[in-house]
Amino acid sequence: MAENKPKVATACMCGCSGCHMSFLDVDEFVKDLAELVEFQSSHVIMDVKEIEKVDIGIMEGTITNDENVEVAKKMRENCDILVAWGDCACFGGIMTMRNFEKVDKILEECYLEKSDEESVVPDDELIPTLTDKAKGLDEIIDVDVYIPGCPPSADVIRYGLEKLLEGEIPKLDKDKLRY
Amino acid sequence: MNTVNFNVDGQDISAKKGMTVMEACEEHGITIPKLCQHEALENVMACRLCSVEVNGKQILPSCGLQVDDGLKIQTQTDHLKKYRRKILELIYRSENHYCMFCESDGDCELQDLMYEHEIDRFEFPRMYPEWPVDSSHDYIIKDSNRCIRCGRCVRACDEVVGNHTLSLGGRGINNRIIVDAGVPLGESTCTSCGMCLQVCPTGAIFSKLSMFKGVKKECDMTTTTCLSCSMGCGTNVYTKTGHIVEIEGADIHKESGGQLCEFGRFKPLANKGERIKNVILREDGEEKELSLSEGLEKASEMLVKSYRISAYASGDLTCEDLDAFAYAMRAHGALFDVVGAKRHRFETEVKRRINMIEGHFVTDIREIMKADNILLYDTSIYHTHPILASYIRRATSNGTKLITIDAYEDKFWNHSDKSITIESPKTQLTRLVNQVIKEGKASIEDLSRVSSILGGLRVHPKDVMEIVNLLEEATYDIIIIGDEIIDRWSLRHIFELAKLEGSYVISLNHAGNQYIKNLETEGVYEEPEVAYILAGDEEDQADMKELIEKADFSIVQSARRSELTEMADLVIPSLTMFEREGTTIDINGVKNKVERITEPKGGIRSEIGFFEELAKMR
Ligand code: SF4
Ligand code: SF4
Ligand code: SF4
Ligand code: FES
Repeated sequence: MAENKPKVATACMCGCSGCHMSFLDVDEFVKDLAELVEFQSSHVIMDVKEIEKVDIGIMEGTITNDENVEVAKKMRENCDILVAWGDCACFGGIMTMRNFEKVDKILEECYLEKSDEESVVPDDELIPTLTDKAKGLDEIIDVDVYIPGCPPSADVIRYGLEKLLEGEIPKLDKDKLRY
Repeated sequence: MNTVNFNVDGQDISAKKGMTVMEACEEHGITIPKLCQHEALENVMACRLCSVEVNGKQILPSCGLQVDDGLKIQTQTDHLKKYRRKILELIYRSENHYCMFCESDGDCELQDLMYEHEIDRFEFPRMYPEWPVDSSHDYIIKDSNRCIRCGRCVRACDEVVGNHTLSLGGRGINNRIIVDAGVPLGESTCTSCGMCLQVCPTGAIFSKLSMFKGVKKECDMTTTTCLSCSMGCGTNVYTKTGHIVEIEGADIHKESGGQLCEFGRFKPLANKGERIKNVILREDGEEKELSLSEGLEKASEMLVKSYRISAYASGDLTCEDLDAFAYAMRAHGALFDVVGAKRHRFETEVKRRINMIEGHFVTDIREIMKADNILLYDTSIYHTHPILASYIRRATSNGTKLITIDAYEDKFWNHSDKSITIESPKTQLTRLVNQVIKEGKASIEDLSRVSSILGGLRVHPKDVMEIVNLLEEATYDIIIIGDEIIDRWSLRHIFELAKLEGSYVISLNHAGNQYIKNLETEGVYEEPEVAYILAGDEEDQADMKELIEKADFSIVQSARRSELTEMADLVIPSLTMFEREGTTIDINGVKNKVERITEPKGGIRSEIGFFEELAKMR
């Protein structure tokens, strides 16, 4: 009964898409999954930008700009269970290495000091503004499921999804947990 | 009563008095999480992760708590687990841990514990402190970003290495590991032993030569014996797909605390000399490559037609290698010698002359740590026998007096109570000491007068008296003679002194394998027709070079290209330390196994087989 399938949305904030790549590594399970759930939006498999009401919302990446904040909040509002995929979403991950410097200083260094003469610090209003610190998801919204890993292995991603589909909130034990 | 009875998690257990609760639990298969505790080191109770519930009220660290009758211990309550999770998270968030690109990812005790405690989210914000990375050392990187300040490295450098290079500096959240008085590690008093990185539970200190080569947990590990010096340290060698990832000290429960030195831990991995794959023949100004069997032919041809043949082997080979080489060389009528054997022959000769019994020789070098006094001739052992040097340093930290006698700068300068600098031979100084001991203190007056008449004698009577006094007031003194002392008279006077004073002696030579003491060796022809040098891994032995220079034709068998192989007429491939197999004898006379760690990568598989062939071709 197609209409009873749980709906899933996935989104990528400031991440490398590695978690989504790792998700695609579940191989033939994608096929099973396509029968078990309905994807509402997911940038790696479909071209839908708007997040609508879903049962499971999955997020990869760190919160580093105001667009990330907006997307995260929208996802939280629209899903019942929010899953953080990967170290970035769970803890902040590698992006937090920018937290050692002030944002202005970083932009200056990247676009002026370490660039050619014509380079300027981008300030187009279409470009999202960086937050003062790079943050893990749960510093902005509530997270229900944590699947850390950089990236989490396909097995762990699959385990998490299977548990969710069985109606449980997965928690990784010491054999599955990796940073 | 020497045992006590108490209860852990509802289970009655008994343990030896004096043990810690942690040790007793481990003995009974109950594991308690820990970070700062290390079996080779004193407990300092720095991390509190091992805390247990005692008698239902207190929470105390089990690594520092002594067992006692009637104790009721809980190790796994929910409260404790929560408490431990908090500690782990606080440790993690206080520094900058990025497991995804950390060298220790997969081999990290902090990470293991975080997994074990199922930490998949953080309660506290992270701090992002700014810490430096020190990569000034040739082999070691010290990254304060991963340092949890457990102090293991500090204790290892103090208690095991006796070097006191590292310490904790700064207060509160600025507390961190500093080197000497705050200098880069590469410019410090560090002896490059690598003990600190062996005990570091995290990625805060690691080896440049092993980094990112593989996770130790996923490697094969073989325990073998280092052939580089006569200490014969046990080593654990980690390999992955036939390559060495890392070398660690194995004898963790022995006094050595699992130490290795630069030669055992780093040098074998740093050795970048090109491997010799083919036989090289240099004839009439031309260089030709030959096959191994052609090389064998050429070598035997030269040996067969010559009369004065000098065969000289490295002392860092196995007993079996030395036997095979000696046999082949003797079959061709060569005179045979091994690095370090000459010194041993002198020693034997002097011992016989003065009737010195074996009882004077220390049979276990760890005795050093029990001596009241150490009289050390030749401080270059600081670099040639670093583990023995560590025992001397440890002894001095515990109050042992150290007098050093050297022609050059005292390498133990910050450990010795007195440094005497006197040019070789040391014989006069020792002779004077002997005289004074025999004839009484008044004789020093005469002696100094006599010596000033003789002229050229730069022994200070005060030095003589200081040695005499020290030896006379001590009950257990050890005289250590480094391998640079090779003149018979110095040896003779030192041995006589030991006899007179009832001192014990440790006498060192250049050979890694003390099997040279069982082998029959003799001085070789100084200007031979053919010099056959089995260098193995050895690269720049001055006496090997000298022999090549004076020979009409020289054969060098070596694992890698080196100055030696550039000088030789015929170069034959050899094996490295980790490709050899057999046994070796250490300074205590103990025979240890040498395992083959990697398959031979040079141009020879069986060196012993090669010598068996060569022996037949005469
Ligand atoms: S030291 Fe351990 S916990 Fe810290 S980043 Fe490295 S692997 Fe992770
Ligand atoms: S460097 Fe390693 S051993 Fe030393 S205090 Fe830091 S974590 Fe502990
Ligand atoms: S390498 Fe050895 S001597 Fe150097 S700091 Fe580490 S433990 Fe101390
Ligand atoms: S292991 Fe006991 S306090 Fe650190």
